[in-house]
Amino acid sequence: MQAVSAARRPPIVANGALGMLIFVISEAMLFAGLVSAFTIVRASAPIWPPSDQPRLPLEETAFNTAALLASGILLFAAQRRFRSQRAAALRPLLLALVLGVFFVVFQGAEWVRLIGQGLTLTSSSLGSFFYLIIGLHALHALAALALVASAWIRLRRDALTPGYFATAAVFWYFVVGVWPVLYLRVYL
Amino acid sequence: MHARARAKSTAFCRRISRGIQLRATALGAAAFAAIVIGTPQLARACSVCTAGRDEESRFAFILTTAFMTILPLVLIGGVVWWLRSRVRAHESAAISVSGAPDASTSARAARI
Repeated sequence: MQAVSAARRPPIVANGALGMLIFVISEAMLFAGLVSAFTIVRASAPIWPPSDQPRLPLEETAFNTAALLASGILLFAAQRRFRSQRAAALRPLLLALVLGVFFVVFQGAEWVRLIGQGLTLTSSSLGSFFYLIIGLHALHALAALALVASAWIRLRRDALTPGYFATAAVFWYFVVGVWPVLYLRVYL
Repeated sequence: MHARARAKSTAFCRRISRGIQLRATALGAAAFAAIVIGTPQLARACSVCTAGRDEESRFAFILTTAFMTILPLVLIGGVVWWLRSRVRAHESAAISVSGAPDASTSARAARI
């Protein structure tokens, strides 16, 4: 009887979304550990940032942060439209994807410039932490973009389920939500 | 007579060996305590132990410790709270739609 009632009831949260939430919590702790270590090293350093190292691009990254936040908002809008009219979610989802790709490409270009200026993984503790923390975030962004892209392809084929969309959205919200914290701690 | 002497000597040997065992245990415990107390100061195993000497890094230690302690509680608590609110919304929606407590509850009641 319990099996029958469980089959009739729609799930409160999709399995994929719940699994992704648990994964995101563990990833949040990973980022928290790295940011904590960076905070202690930064506070213990006599001069910060190290005098022989280039300054991190504050203004350019602020612009890129705005693009990433806009991407998160567009994904939220796409999710809302998806509930009422599926086809209407195509455009905001594509825009969110494009802005996400722009963020990753822009970050890559900044990295190339910083490496050219002498900030490498072994040049200083700033370089080590910068490439470790921001690189880890970029890896997460790439994985989340792949998930959002596959959600968009499924939506075009009219094969996107709300559970799959929620799973992709949870991961992208994590990528978007953790970035301002990293920007404030690492860049400023 | 011979057997009694042997028993006496055996008991004496046992007492001595027990005493030696006790002494060895006490020595071992003292050595362990000395290692536990003395070694970390010699080894400085913690890579950031030399850092917390000035006020700014002390504050950073306290801040990050608090952050790392509170964050998992907030994250897990947030998810539990969100799930609970979703369950409640789900249940209230089921009541308003069917007029009964729940479709599954009424089905169960019918079978009973």
